[in-house]
Amino acid sequence: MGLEQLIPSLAGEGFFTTQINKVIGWARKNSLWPYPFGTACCAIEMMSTLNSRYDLSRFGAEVIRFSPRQSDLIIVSGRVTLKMMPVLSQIYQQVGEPKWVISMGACASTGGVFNTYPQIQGVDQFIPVDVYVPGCPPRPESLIDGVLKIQQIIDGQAERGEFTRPTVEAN
Amino acid sequence: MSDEQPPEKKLPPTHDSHETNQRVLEENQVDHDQLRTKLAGKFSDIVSEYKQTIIKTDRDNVIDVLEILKNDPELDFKMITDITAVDNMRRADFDPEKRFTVIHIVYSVTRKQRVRLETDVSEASPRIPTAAGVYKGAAWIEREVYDMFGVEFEGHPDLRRVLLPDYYEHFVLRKDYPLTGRGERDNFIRAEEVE
Repeated sequence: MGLEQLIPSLAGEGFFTTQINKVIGWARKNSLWPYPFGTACCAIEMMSTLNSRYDLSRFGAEVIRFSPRQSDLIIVSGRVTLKMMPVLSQIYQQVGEPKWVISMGACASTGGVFNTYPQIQGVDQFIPVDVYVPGCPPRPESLIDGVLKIQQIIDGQAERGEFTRPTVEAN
Repeated sequence: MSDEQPPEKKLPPTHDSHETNQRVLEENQVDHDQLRTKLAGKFSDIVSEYKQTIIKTDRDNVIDVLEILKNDPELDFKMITDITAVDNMRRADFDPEKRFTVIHIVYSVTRKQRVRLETDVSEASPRIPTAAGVYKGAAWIEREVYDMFGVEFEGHPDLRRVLLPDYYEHFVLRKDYPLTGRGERDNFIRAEEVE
């Protein structure tokens, strides 16, 4: 960055210079604490992802917290109904900034096959979603890829909203 | 293709055809004559449909019938399996006086037999006396029937919704309620806008 020339004591072995945002992003993306909002069969795949076979801890996101105050990533895995949507909204508000949301599976993203009166047709109508993981349910590899996409957003390789679904014009 | 007649509507098989090719379950081997004497004057008909015994009764007698079924030592139907309802609105022979059919299913644990009670209630006043005084467990099941069909159980200790939220305005299993609802599912405030 050129600082080495200005401050001679920074030059040499044992030092490197970078931006503070990059350091914070690097720390955040490798220590995600997910909140598992598991309401249906996608939660089973999420548990599988966290277990040793797929081992989400390789990417630093194994510390599942059941308190929204302690987490920074909500994984909405499963159907969200009329009665559950206010709960999810409240949990979203209780998570401290910065926070990210993964909408896992067809039901959370679009309502899936449940086009019925109590089923929310996509949680992105009521909370902001960063990454959608498709599948019914998605395989653990898909969820891992979703977490890696979140990491790209965190350390600035991707813009927020880059992985959201394209809007379809109603005709 | 134009002169082809539309296919004739296939009627469901009558219970007679079922009588011939289905085995009677042990739980359905109910003595109708015994029921007829025990419940004399309190039912309109006792029939066997799909090899299952159905007692047809009415609002005024349904609790008396349940009491006899439960407390008579020779009948001994001590367990209530289920209470449910049917909305008859889409039937060809629909009669507003018989909009809903409330069904009680009772089981005798000692005699291993099961009978069903059918009670018609009207569209204008969908009310039926509660069975919670006879079977304690009926109170919970009746709440669910109220939640889904809006059938009110008179004398129920705590008739509230059980599955849907309290603010819900409609009874969702009625045939005139659309499957996708009336916009309740789209009616939330976006979380980031609340603050």
